[in-house]
Amino acid sequence: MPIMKALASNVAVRRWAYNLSGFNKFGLHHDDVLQENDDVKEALRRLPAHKVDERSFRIIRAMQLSLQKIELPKEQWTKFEEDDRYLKPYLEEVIKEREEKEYWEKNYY
Amino acid sequence: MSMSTLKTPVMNSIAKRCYANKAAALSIKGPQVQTKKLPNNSLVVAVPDYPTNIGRVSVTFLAGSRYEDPENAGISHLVRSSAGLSTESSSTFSIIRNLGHLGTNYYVTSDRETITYTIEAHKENLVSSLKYYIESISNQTFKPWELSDNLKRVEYDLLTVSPELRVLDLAHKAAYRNALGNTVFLPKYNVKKLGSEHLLYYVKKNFNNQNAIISSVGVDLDTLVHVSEDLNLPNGDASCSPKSKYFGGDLRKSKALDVTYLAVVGEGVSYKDSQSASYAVLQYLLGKGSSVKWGVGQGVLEQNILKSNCSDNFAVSAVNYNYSDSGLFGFLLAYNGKDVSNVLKAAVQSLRSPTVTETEVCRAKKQLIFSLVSASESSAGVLENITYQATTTGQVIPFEKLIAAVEAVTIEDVKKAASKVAGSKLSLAGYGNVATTPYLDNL
Repeated sequence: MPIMKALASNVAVRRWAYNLSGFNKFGLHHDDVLQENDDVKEALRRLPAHKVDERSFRIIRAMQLSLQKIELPKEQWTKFEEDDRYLKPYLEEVIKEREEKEYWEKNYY
Repeated sequence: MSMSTLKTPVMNSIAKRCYANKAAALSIKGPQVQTKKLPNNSLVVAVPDYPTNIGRVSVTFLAGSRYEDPENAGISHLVRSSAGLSTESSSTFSIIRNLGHLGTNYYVTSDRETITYTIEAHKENLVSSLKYYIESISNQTFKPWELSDNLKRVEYDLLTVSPELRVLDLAHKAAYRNALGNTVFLPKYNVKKLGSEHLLYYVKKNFNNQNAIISSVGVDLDTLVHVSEDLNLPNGDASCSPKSKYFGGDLRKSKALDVTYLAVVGEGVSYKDSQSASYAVLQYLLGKGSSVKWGVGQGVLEQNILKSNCSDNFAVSAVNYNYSDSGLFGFLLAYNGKDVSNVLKAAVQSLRSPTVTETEVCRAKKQLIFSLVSASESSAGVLENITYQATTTGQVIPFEKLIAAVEAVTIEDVKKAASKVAGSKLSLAGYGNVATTPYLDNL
C-alpha cells in the first residue's frame, strides 16, 4: 500500500494519469467532467456567474469537437498544472453541510 | 429562610413584617443595575439579581438606519434579516438546530439607531447557547447564495409592514430628511442591489467595540465580560452620523387602501433632555389609545375628535420618540371616512393647544407610571429598557429614579412642553387614502 500511496502522490505519475484520461484534449478542466449529482448541482448553484459561464463555454466547445471527431490543437490542451479545481471549495462545503445534516438526522431523530 | 429561630412566634411575626416591608419597597424600587465600561470601550450593563430562571443577553450595535448612506439605504434591515446565516465555522443549519435543541430563543431587532441581537435561554443552557450566538454576531460571512435564498423572506417581510409603521417612517423622513430621516425598511430598488460585499463592509465598519453595548437580565457582569472577549470585535471608530436637524415637511403616499393613515409630528426632545419626562407625561395626556377594552380612550386627542362630530371610525394615539440627539412628538391618526380634514383639524388643534388641567396631568402620570412599573416587572421589559437607555444616553437610570422623575413633573412642565411642540414647525405624513388630506399650510 505505501507504494500505491507514493505513486498516487507523485506529481509525474499524476500528470501521466491526467494526460491519459483525455478530457484535457477537448480543453476541459477536471471539474467540468464531474458526475452531476445533487452535491455538484448545489455547488454549481453557488459558483459565481462568470465561472459558470466559462465552464459552459468549455463544455459546449468540447461537445462540438466531439461531434466533429476532432481534438483541439495540442498547444490549447489543458495542462495538468493549469487545471484549477474551481468547484472544489464549494463542493467540499456542500458535502460538509450534507454530512452534518445526515449526522443530525441519524443521531437525534 | 428555614432558620429555626423563625419558627418561634415572635420572630416569625417580625420576619413576616420585614418581608412585607421588603415587598412594598420592591414595588417602587426597581432591580439593581450594574454598568461598566470595559477596557476595550464596550459598554456593559447587567441586572444580575432579577428573580428569573431565564437568562437574557443582548448585544447592541449603534448601526441602525441613521448610519446608512444614500447608496446603501435599508442595509440595516438586510443585516437584521440575514442574522443566523452561515458563519465562518458554523452553518445556518447547525446554528438553528443547536439553539433549537437547547430551547433557546434568538432574535434580532433594529431601529433607527441600533441593531440588537438578543438571546434568551434557561440559565442552565445559556452558556452552551452563547457559543453559537457569539459566532453568529461576530463571524458573519453573508454567503451570496444564502442571501439570494433569503430574498423571498425579505420580500415577504416588506409586504407585511403595516401602514402605521409606513406612515411613521414617512413622518421621520419629512421631519429630518437625512440621518434619523433614513427609512428603516429596505427600499424596493435596493432589494436585489445590496449584496454580500455591501453587507460585509457595513458590518465591518459598524460592528466594533466602540459601538457595542452588551446588556443582560439574570446574567452577571462577569459573563458579559466573557461575552465581550469572545466576540473579539475590532477596535474601530465610533459610528458617525450627521447630527439630526429638525426641518419639518409634508410627505404623502397614495395607496389603494380604504383607510387614511396620518402622522403629524413636531420637534420633541432627546432622551437625555431634562424635559423628556414632561414630554412622556404629555404623550399620555394626549392619549395612547384606550387602556380599557372597547373604550375610546380618555386622552385629550380622542375626546376632542369625538367632539368634532365625526361619523366614521377613527383611531388616534400620541407618539413620542426620543433619540440620542433629537426627538419627535405628535400623533398618529387612522380614519376610514370620506373626508379626513375635520378630524385632522380637531387633532392638530389639540396637539397645538391641549387642555392641560390638574386632573388630566394626574391621570397621565398614573398611566405612565403604570407602564413603567409593568415594564420593570418582566425581565424582557427590563432588558429592553436598560438597552434603550444605554444606547441613547450611555448610562442607565434605575426604574425608581425614572418613576420619581415622572412624579416630579408639574402641570407647568407639561404646559411648557406642549407650547414648545406647538411652536415648532409641524411635519405631516400620509399613507393610504390621502386624497382629502389637507396640506400643512391649510391646517
